[in-house]
Amino acid sequence: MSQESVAYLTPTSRRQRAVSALHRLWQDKVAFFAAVFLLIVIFSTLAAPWISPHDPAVGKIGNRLKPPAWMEGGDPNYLLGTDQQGRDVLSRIIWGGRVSLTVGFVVVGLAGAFGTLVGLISGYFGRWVDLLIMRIVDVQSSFPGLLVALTFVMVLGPGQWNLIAALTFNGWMIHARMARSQVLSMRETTMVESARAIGCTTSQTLFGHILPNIISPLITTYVLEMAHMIGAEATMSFLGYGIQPPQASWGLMIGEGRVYITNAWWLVTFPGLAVALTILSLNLVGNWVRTEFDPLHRSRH
Amino acid sequence: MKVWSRVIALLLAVVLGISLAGCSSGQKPAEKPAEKQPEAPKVKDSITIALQGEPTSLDPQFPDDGNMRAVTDNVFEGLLELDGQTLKPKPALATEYKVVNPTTWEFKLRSGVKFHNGETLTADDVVFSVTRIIDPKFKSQIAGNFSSIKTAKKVDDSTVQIITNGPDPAMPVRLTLLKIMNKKHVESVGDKVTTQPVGTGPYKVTEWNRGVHILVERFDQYWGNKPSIPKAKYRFIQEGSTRLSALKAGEIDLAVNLLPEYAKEVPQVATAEGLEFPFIRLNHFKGIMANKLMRLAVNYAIDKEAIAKNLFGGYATVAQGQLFKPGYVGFNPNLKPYPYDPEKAKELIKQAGYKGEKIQLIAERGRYLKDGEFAEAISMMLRDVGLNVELKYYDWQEWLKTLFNRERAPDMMYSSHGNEMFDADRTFSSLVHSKGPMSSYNSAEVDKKIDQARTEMDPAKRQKLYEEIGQMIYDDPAFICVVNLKDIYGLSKDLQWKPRQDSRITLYEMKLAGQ
Amino acid sequence: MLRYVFTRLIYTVVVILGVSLLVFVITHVIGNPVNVMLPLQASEEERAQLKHQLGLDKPLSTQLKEFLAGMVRLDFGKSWWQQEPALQLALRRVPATFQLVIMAFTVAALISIPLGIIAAYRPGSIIDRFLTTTSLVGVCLPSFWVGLLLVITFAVKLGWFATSGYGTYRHIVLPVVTLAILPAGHMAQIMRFSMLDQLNQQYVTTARAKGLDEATVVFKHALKNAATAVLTMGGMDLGRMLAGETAAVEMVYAWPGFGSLILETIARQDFPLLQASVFVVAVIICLINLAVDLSYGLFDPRIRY
Repeated sequence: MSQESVAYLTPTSRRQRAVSALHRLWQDKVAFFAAVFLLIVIFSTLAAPWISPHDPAVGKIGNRLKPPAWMEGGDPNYLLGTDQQGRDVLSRIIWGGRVSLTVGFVVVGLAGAFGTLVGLISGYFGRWVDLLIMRIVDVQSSFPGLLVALTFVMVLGPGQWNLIAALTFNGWMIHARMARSQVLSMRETTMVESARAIGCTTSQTLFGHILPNIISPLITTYVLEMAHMIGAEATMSFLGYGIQPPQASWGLMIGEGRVYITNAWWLVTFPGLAVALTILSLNLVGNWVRTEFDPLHRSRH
Repeated sequence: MKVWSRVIALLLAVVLGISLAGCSSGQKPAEKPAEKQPEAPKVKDSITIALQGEPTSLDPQFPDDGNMRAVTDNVFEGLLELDGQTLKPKPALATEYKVVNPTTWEFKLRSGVKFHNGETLTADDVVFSVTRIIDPKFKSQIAGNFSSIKTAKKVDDSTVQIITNGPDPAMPVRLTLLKIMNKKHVESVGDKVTTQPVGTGPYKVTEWNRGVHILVERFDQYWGNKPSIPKAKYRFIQEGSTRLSALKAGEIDLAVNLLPEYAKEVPQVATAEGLEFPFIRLNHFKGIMANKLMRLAVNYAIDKEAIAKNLFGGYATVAQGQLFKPGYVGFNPNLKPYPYDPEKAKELIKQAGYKGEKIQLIAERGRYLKDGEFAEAISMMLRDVGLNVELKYYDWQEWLKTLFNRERAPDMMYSSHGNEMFDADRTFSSLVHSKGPMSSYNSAEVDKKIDQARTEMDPAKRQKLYEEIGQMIYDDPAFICVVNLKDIYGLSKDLQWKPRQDSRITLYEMKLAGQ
Repeated sequence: MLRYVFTRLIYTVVVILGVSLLVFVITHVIGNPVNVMLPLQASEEERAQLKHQLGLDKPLSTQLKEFLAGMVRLDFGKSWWQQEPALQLALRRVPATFQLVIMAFTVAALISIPLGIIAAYRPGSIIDRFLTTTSLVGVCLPSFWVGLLLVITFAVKLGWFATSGYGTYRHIVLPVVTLAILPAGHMAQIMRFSMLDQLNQQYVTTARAKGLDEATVVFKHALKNAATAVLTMGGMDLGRMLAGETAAVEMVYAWPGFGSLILETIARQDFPLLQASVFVVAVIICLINLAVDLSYGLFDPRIRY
């Protein structure tokens, strides 16, 4: 660790820095494979129309619940087997990734940005601003999320984007609380006081000094929330308020497949693996990005 | 200041902790009888039945709740009861009845019938029960079944007359659904009537531990045949796969509503044709489906055999071109299901001049067996013959709103029909009559026949009218009739029971092997 | 401080009022309880009649007034389905969920926090990697699926525990484990990262340089400062679980708790019971939030009230 950081402290160009970062990625085998996996997932969801072997929405009812190709009774045409409607599981995973990843990224992007901003403001200004914001957070987080989400879908109608709206509306509070609690413990430190003393503007203090110092737990929260949101999409879709079949999403596949858990394990296992591996890779790559590019971490090397 | 804040915070945490602990220990269910181990004793004197949910109440006159009926059908009785296989009414608390005039029915009560609280059944109890359920202030959710009843009056201690608003030929079946309560008990317990049921049935409720179980025990002074099983416990397990697991682990003896896929895994399967007919309602009023050729085409486009065989794993029978099974009043034996003929369907679609317009199919998910998958299968088959079908799932609320609002009626709508009266009037009045709350069918001629049949007291004439109506809405289709689902029960090895055509879970008809 | 607690209690009342208003609005936006309560075959007149009986044909303002007046007296009316006072019904379901949630949460905290500290203390070690991986996998597996797998393995195949139900240890172990996975993963992750951050801070280096012994540095200084993030996440998770996120797990294990009650009442559109349930949830969560906010000060002396 220390040898690396010596080399790192004297970067001569941005290019060199990028090269050495990638080099370290290659050395960190786990992070490397995670990055590769993530690239494959992103590529395959983007290229879904060209690479998916079957139409994800069309199946023959006579073909239902065929096991994966390598098992007895499997059909080589359906590598990962077929689902309860006779549709190809692999194709649905490829297409479903589009929906699940969009939901995860967009919800955490929106809710995270909004929540963090609100939390920063609340924690930094304190007093009535804090009071008002935190009461709103309290009201919303004391409320069964399911009921709120349901109301959204009732008013807006079911579908991917309305689901995103509902989950964002339900998901920002945790980021606000997280940011606020971190700001509270930062606010009175010498660093912030000196930033104020040398005449930094509020936004400079907030985003230039406070945010970078509290970003680490926040990033962790984003990744955890991403996992949570993909799961929430599953629950919502299963209850009928989310993704509408024949469209596919990983969550919907798990939710719908769970009833066949004892006779057709492949219905839940493969989308479940897809979710788990994606989140895991995301986090590992996230860690690597954080250590490489976060000023705080960099200085520690 | 700082010290204080810590002390107070700590105190708060402790108080909170204690109150939580208090909550959780204070309300622990009263010392439960020793937990039954999976290895049951040699001769069991009790069985466990897993229902899909907890009864909302045990007042059989109030909610429309299948979970409740699974219990109360063994605890309460009506003046008449249904034969489980032929679906014909037969005597229960009344030994005989006669029609005095088209609006007056007279019932002779069985003598020596005891309630669970020791009271003897009298005409007063019957009059009380009838007037209670039709009282608008009582808000019974099943009052609609008895809307034709005007009043009841006592003739003597063992004779009761029921007066109807107009002729009502379906009265005997209605009365199988009207459970007789004990007047004295209901009047004395007030609100507790929902948790302290007192009936005349073969079993009495001994304990209701909310959320956990209901215990029943054989009622020794029961007037009829003594049931074979002395005691039973009802548990509430919503998740189908958990019911399956519990049955496999030997924790329960009977699991209701299993998936067809689970049938291979359980110790013993019992099935019977159930009540539910999943079907597609076609919009006869407006839009693309108003065209008769299109409505015929979609009927030819559906492979009903494949749905019964593959989707429902053989646990469904193809519907006979109607939403009735043999035994229902109004079943038309001459109707046959439309054959699966995609070529014919395509031809009809061409004749109808269909140009690829979008066709809506509205469904819901999660209420009925494989409802979502059913609608998806239908939509795929319709797309196969070239229809541009757009399937949308509404949540239950939205779906209900759509079902009941003709203005919002889509081209096609998934629904499931269960007729607990086994009488065609119920189906036709609500689903086919142009004024029916769930109807999107519009034919003055059919309306007239439905109105006529509703008050026809001669069973033969009434049957003929219903058969004619059945033929008319078959030839100019109101629905796509697809299948009739079977009820699938999982039984433990030593439980013996023949499921009924009316889907009632009759504990008093069950037996344990070796008893 | 006393003043702080007092004002916080007042806010709690405000929040609960806000929640109650919200639930009133929401039930009336989404609801059409009449359709749910009557059989599908019921006629228009029957529908109108029931609407009148439930008081749903009164003007909204009157209904709101009646609702608020009732709430002040803690009277939400009788459940439309169960014909019993709604608040009682809601409260009766609380203990089972509490039992489950508190046990799961304790298990989660006891396992995850020490592990998080160890992982942060030796970043990049085997323990660290193992912990990071398993906790993340735990977080993203849908709990109903985990639950079903546990039932099949430990109840059906091995027969160690009951598949479902309520009562003895045989019933509670599996749901507690299932439910503990998510908060354990969350807290382990947050613990690790904020601890790592603290250990890299200037003051830790200073403290070490001053010759303070390692245990004091780690537990007295770093842990205290790292605790706020864990508290926030933990409090939020606790709240979410109590607000009905246990529903899926309760469903799998047929656990007679609050989550399944909320699902049922939404499905049945039982307004009084729904309003009472949400009220109960709100009160509980507000108390937890209060406790969390107050305990920040306990761990992080830099926070002033």
